[in-house]
Amino acid sequence: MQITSNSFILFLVIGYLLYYIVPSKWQWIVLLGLSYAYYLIVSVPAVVFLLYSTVVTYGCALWIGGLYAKEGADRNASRGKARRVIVLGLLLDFGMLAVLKYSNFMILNLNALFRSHLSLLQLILPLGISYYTFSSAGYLLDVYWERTKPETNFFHYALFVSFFPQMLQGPINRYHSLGVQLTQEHVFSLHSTKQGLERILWGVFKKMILADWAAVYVDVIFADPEHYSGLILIGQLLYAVQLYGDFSGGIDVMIGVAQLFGITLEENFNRPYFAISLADFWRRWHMTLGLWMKDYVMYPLTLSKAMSRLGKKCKKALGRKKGRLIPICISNIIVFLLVGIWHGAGWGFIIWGLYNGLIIAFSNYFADRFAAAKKALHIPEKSALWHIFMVVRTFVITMIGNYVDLTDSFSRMLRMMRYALTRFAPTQILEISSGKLGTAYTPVALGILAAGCILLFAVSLAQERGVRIRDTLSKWPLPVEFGLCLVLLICIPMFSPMAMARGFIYAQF
Amino acid sequence: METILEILEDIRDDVDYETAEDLVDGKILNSFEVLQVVSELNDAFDIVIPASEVVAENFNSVKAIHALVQSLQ
Amino acid sequence: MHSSKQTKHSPGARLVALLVCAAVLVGVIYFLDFALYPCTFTRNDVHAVVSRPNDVILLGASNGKMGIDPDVLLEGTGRSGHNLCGGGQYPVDSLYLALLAAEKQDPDTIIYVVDPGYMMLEKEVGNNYMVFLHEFPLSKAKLEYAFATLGKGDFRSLFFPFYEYELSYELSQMKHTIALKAGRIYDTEDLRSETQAYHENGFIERFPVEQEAFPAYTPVPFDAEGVLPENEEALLKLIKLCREKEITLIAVAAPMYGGVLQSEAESWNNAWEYFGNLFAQEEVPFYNFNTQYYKAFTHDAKAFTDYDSHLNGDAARAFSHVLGQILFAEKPGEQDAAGDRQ
Repeated sequence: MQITSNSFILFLVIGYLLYYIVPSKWQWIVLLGLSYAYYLIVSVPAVVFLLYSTVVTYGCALWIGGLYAKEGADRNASRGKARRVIVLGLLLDFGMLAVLKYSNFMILNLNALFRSHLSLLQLILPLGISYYTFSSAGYLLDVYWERTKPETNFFHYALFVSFFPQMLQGPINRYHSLGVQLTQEHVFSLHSTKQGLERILWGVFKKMILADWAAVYVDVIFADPEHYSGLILIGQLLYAVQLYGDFSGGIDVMIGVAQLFGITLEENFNRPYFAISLADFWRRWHMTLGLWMKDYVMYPLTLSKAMSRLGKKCKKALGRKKGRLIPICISNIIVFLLVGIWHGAGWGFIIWGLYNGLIIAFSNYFADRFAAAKKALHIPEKSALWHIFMVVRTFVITMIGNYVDLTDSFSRMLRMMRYALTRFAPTQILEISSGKLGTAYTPVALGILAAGCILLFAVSLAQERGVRIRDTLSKWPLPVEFGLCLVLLICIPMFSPMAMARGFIYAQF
Repeated sequence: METILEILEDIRDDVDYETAEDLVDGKILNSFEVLQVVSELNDAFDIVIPASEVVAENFNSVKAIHALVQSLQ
Repeated sequence: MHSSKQTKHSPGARLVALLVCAAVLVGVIYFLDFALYPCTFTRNDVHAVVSRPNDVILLGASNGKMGIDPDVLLEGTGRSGHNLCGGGQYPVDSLYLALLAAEKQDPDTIIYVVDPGYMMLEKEVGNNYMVFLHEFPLSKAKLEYAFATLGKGDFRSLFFPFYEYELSYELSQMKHTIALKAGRIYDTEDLRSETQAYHENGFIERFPVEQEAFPAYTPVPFDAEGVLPENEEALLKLIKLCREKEITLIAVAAPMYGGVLQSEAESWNNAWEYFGNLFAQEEVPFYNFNTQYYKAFTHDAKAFTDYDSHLNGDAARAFSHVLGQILFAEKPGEQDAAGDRQ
């Protein structure tokens, strides 16, 4: 069920009315019903996997809670048992994701390696599995580290795992922030409904104007990169717009939807293209995945006994300053390997993960050298020019990383990179038709896309300076606020591409 | 308390640790820097800070770090 | 500023503000549709079918629209008819057009002109998806039709159907569109163009075209497995509807250009076999002018305006006459060569 489709609108209207009609202590039951209804409408068999993850993590969490509760004298014994339970829980939870998402990839590689002919499995990738597996595993680890008390009410927990706005493309939520909110009673507030609708409108604008127009050209250019070799650079810029518009637009819609129900979801984007370094980019792009990886992989890995021992050895060998960085860099690379694998089962993603991990590790390891070089070149600390340079440099690094999505053959990727630098024929884009009037409509379409990007840039710049757009809007007189929203709403059908809004890229995860 | 300040200065020297109350929540120290602080604290005070303790509350200010170190000694 | 702040938060004022905003929103949506959504053949067709009683209704796609002139078809029978076929009409559209016709008037016969290609294509949102639903007057049929088709569309189809047309085209037509809609004018002269003329009874007369000028043709090979369930279901529902409302349903396969029938003989035979079985099973009489009645009408290029087998005006009238003779001419007692009519 596309989140811009009328059936989803009808689903939301019914859910919204029900939610605020029933006595507020039953609101969470309405949400639970809505979430499972949404899931059943989208794909009935997939509910089994959702229940599987829910039951596994719920059970293990209670088990661990029980072990801690009757600790009594023998603290270590129960800790040992708890460790075994957590390993079991994580294996079962992630095991299912691995089987469904990566078994065919494993089989392909085994076939290639051993010339065997194992047949591929017919597996469905249930909606949202990459998201709820992580949020449920995070909850389990929080219980294991005693950051949260295990939830005793199975249905409360089931709501946390299945809360429908996070189903399509996240964000990956944390129990201590979302779990609590879901079971609280929410008084109807016109203000939060208005702000929710405004956020949805903004998300739909990003999706249907920016992402969909950019996609019209990106699909054509990268379907035949040889013919459009002069457009590779422009195509990459457009792909960066498409990816951001699609992903952050979808997240805006879902955060807006949750806000209609008085629920605040974690933010997933903080204007990533303003990042000054690749590490900063990953604190702004898909934030909940990055934060999840930091809390549940990077920190435990770096502070594990093995890594600590390695750290001590390195300190002796390389000196304190450099030595202590080695374990952190290694776990950072491992983290980004996992991020790459999470994005998809393919060598391209693995390489992309390593690409990101290595660059961040490298820049942190030699941070002192870079700082020294900067001083040597007398670059003033707060110079705007240097800031712009860092932003552009980071943007280029991420664009190079995007090649993984645009082609799956390494040789073509290299050729495309060469074209991007050597050939530049922007007018060739006018050959690409973009609607019923064929190529005649392209200049107008590019104009619309440019105007959209300028609006997005202006809003992002304001947000970067701490302006809270919707709060400011609501301070203005109502006719102005409503007028602006109405104009934006009307621009979408008027200026969006003809074909139906394309499916959300991240929905196939 | 002094050694903690030294460790922090060694890792990031452009922060006023005396008054800072939100080193982690305010995104002043990033994950690389927090992990370096932990590694130095473990060596300096011969303690082992488990991952479960590496949370924002324990690292937001020098006082919080000090309390954590004492609780593990 | 301060005072508006005060009143803004009293519940009464906020309710008023909400209602005003809702009213403005609905008003803007209605105005945009009224001014931008162009006047189409279907607007005239639906208006004619709803406001005038017709004994016979023709349903189907563009080959039906340009292939049969109801007046010639029903000459001498004293009965009236309307050609409600239309380009882009999928089985689900024909179903609900029939439902509307039955709800507003009471036709006694429906002639369904088959188009094999449409059985295998999915009704594509954003591509003339709303062209029929948009013209429905408020009715039970419109509600059912909306529920059946709008689930797949997105909010643009529901609230801003004009998005299916080029904005530049709409703006150029705006004054004209508003004039027609405001004045409730259904003048057929407006729908005339260089290549075709729209008639009061829904028949579109295509002006003759030389074979050399036929546009390029990309055949849609037909195979029974490729038929989409949603299309077959809609066709079966149409048959069931006619049975329930005691409307005589006659299926017709209009004559096609001989060259195409030969070059893709296998594909067309599959199609006729598929329709033949379906209509036989449902006991719906099926008059196929490419098999049983091949000789009843010419298949020469002169009769057509393109390789998609759209007849030109004169050929269509001639065919309508032949069809009329076969279907309606009262020949007491004489058994028609193709077996009994009913």
